[in-house]
Amino acid sequence: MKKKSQIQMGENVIIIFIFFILLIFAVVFFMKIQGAKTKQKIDIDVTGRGLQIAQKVAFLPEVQCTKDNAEIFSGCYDEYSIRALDAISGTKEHKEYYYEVFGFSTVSVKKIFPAEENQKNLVLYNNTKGNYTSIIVSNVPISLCNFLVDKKCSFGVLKVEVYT
Amino acid sequence: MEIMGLAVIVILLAVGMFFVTKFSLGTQQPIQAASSQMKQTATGFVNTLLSTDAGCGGTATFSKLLEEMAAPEYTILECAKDPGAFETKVSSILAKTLNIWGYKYKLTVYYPSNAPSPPNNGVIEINNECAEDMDEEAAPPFPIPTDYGDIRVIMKICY
Repeated sequence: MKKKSQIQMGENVIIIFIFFILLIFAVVFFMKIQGAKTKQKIDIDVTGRGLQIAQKVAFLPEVQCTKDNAEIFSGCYDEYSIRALDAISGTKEHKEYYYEVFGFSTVSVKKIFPAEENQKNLVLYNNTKGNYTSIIVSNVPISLCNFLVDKKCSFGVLKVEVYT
Repeated sequence: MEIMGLAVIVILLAVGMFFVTKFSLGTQQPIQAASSQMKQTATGFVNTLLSTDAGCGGTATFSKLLEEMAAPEYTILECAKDPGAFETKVSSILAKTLNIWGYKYKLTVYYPSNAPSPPNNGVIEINNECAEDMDEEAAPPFPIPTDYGDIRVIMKICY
């Protein structure tokens, strides 16, 4: 009788042991999933933020191509206005003025076609976060137009780098 | 006692199934976000391309170049007489944009059947690793109206 009870006790202990092992597996699995989901959500949010900034740039009256105060066509950026912004983008006043719109990010424009020699990036805004962990880059094709002089548009890329 | 053990196993399996289902449903969101971004990129690319100066002299855009290439015998645009002009120029843009960003894509231009002498029998195709069996996100077709009918430009991004 005593031996039978001991065997039954042993069975119980083994069952409880297996139960806890399964429970630990479930908790670890759940935590891994939650971790992966959180990372995905952060990535989506930051990528979304990059595209949101690109949208905000598109609607900045400072860079839009306009004729009689009306936008000429969507996705059209005035090259001379961008060059003017590039010239002052390093100043403290510029960073402070646009901080609420762009936060910690770098917004730049590069002309792709027609190709020019010594083509440099035109920086619209540059505010790097001191100790950032990652940069999410969003690229948006844009038309860089010059309606004042030759009424031609170049193929450009608006690059938004968001720091997290 | 054995019944209890079975009940515990059933409960654990049910909880496990619940998490697996929840996880597999949760992955739909990033896929949707990525596909929407691909569509936006494809649309933005074609929209920008067609309004870009084609570098043929004057103010001819890529849209005008495609239009003139439909009937090169009547055009005054020199580069429209070269049937590979569009492909060469656009490939140089793609090499600095979508190729660098790691996209697989297919850009196709369809000429209307009435076009007098379109290049490559009426279809220009630039394909970068886009296979038939791949999923794709396409920009809505961009029509370019001409005297012979509409030229359609379609950009697809594959994944």
